[in-house]
Amino acid sequence: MRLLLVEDDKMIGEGLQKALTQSGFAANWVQNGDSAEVTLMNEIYDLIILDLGLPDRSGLELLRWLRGKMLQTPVLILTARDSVMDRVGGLDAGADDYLLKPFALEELEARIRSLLRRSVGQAGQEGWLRHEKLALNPKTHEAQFDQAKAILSGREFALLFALMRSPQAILSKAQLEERIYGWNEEVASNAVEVHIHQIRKKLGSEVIKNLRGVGYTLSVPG
Amino acid sequence: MISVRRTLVTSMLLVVLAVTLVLATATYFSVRHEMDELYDENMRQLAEVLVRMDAASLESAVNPITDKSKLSGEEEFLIQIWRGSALKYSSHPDLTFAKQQDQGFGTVDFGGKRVRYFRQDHGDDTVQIAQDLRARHGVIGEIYNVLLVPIIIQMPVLAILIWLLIGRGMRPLERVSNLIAKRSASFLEPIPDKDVPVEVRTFVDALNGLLERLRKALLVQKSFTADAAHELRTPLAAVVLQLGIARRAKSEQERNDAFKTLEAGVSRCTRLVNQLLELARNEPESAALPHGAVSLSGVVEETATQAFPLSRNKSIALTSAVDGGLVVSGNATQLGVMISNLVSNAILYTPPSGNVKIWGRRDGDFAVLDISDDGIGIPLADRERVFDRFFRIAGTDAVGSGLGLSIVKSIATSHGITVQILQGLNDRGTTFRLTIPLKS
Repeated sequence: MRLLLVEDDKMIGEGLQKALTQSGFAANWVQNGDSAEVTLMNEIYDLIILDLGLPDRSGLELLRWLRGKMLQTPVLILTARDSVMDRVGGLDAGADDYLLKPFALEELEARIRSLLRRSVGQAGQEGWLRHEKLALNPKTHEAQFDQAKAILSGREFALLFALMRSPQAILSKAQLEERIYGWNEEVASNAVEVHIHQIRKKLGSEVIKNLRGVGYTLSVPG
Repeated sequence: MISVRRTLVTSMLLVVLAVTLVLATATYFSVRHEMDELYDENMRQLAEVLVRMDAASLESAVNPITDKSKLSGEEEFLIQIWRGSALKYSSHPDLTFAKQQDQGFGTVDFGGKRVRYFRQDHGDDTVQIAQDLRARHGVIGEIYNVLLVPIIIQMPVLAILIWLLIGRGMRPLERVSNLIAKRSASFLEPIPDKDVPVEVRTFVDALNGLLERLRKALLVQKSFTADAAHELRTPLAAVVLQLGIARRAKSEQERNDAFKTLEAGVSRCTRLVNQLLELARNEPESAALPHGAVSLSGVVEETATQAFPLSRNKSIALTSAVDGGLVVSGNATQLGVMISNLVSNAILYTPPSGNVKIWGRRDGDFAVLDISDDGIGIPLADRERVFDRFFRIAGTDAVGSGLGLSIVKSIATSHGITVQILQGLNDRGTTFRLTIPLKS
């Protein structure tokens, strides 16, 4: 699960990136609107956490620009501005959620999960996401496939989630890497293979299909 | 409690009473004078007529009134005629009144009474006419009874009328005070001066001026509070976040890191709160701190000593040179806060191994203090705005509250100090130039 964190405050940005990475998210952090625009043009994110008071432009402007580009990425506004006008303005500009600073880390993560569930098009029972025989719980990182049940690591979960977001698509090794690792993380050359091996060991080899030379998918193409 | 209405009623009644009394007294004396002249003339004429008659015809003309032992009424005179020293005739034989010494008018005490007489001699005969003055003046009293009683009776009526009329006259005041009573912190609209009498208009105008100033001050206060709350949320969010991270830490190392950042966050909050307080203390509306004679070199030395560890951490060369004997007028603590804010800003926005220089000298009646650095500098476009509360220059990494220069500005304003932003050292960076009036 790949998040873009747009936050100008160094202390909050650093802390959030650290905490979210520990929770298994791939969190990229930018400090101003321009950098956010650059990375949004070039990379795919599952969710954007957006501060409104950016140094170079307002977060709302960035949000409008994003929606103007027809990018549907869920946006959670994280700001100190608490007036009803600000909240309504933020949601109307295309945000999906609005959280006030200071916030509890747990609540932020719960809201991220909720937005991710909805972006997958599911509001499953007790937070479970389903695709055919596969079920994922973003909160507990539990996974079920057929009769097999297991608790996945953060990376393993992120990998399965990336595949589940677009079950029909085939994702390359590079695309998967991008989805599960942030910018500053060192990635071993065989990391994706290692994670897939672990997942198959826990849930059975049928859970992820491998199309040699192309990539990985949840569904059998045809 | 002082009541305008009561004071007015009392004083007006007193004036009416005093004027009435003075008039009455003056009239009394003037009427009495007229009366005296009139009766005296009567007495004289009567005496002249009597003195020309012979005694025989006199006795037949005027019968003595024997049954009366006193003169009744103001019209009645005691008429006495002497031939030689023998009393030949008395209109009231029961009354005795001595033959007076001299001719003409006179007033004497006789038998406990004031008596007015007129004596005229004719050969051997003497005619003397006398009148009791009390009886003579009694008539004035009667006139007065008729005049004074209504005046005394009308006083309470007058009091009530004045009371009601003043109340009526003061109704616009009451209306204005009702309008004032409706004003509150959230409703500071000016009081309409339509239908307000001239006397109250200046009062209402002054009040409206006050309301307007109050409204503006409240507005400033309100936006400041909103800004402050907003600005406090960010460092608080950082603190709460680090707390969450610390709680989740799986290793001692992680926990220690989180606590370290947590500490930094707490001190950031503390600094912000302190600066907010500093700013509130320097509000133009707040009570002025005492000003005295302050040695500029002393304040700079103290500030430089405090800032030294900060500059050493960044390997920044902090130097200061201030001419001795520069004594300025102000509050030493506030001047220290102002200079210290500028010095720590200079250190904060200067990269490691840079220079920060403090230079103070005299220029006419002013002390000029430059705080210069060769740091990142302030773009021309931002030079006006850096003094705004919570303003931070876009793209700067340093964590400031955005309040430091607002504090500098407000202290400078309260001390009559001008602040200029100029180019810094080595053709870059910033110089803050303070022009401080010397103590005369």
